[in-house]
Amino acid sequence: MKRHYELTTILKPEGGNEAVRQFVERVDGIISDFNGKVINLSSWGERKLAYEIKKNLKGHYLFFNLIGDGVLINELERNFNIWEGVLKYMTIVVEEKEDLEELESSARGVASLFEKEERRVVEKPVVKPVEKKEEKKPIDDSRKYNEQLQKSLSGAGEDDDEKDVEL
Amino acid sequence: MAYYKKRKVCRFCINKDMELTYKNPDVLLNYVTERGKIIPRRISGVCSKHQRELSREIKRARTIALLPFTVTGR
Repeated sequence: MKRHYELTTILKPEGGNEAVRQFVERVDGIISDFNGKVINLSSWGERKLAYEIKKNLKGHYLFFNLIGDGVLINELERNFNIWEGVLKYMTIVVEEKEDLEELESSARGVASLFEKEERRVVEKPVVKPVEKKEEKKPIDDSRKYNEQLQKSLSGAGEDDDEKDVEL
Repeated sequence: MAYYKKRKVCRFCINKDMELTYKNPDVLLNYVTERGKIIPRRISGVCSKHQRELSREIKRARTIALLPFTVTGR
């Protein structure tokens, strides 16, 4: 029986993008051999692990949405246990009632990973100017505040009470 | 004079946008002690339905190293 699965894998960080690409190709090969389909594949990038796995403190996370049957999952997990680059994996059955056929038709395959990488590169420069604007505002405010302070300090050497009112 | 504690309300019931999945460890971190234990619902005020989901998702997040099983003082 076909089901919708979520598969999270953690790869060794050392291999870099090349290792990720190889891994994805191998996984895709197995999935298509067993008549499964990749609906979506995304990379969470290199993350710090909450605990050490096989002496590694960091790992590269890959997240798959799959459609397939139990035999496929068994085969995938058998392979993950053999491959050295895989630190850990977890498969979960998505329980929500969904239209599997509809999902299958929206399958974007493994290519969705590489599409997203391109999108991320585009997104990055958009985020930066916003951050800068946010940084500038408090600086301006503090400058004005400093100027006001200096004025009040220099002008009001005699009348302490009035200075408080002005501020 | 007697003091009554305000009844805590389940945050997941109020805020439907707050997604309860193992993929979002930032939300789950609020329901875990510094040591990594799951906070009981008598303290956090989560309703029983969501507490069940919470504990399931925290355990999932633990298996893929998004949350710690335990934090030791080392």
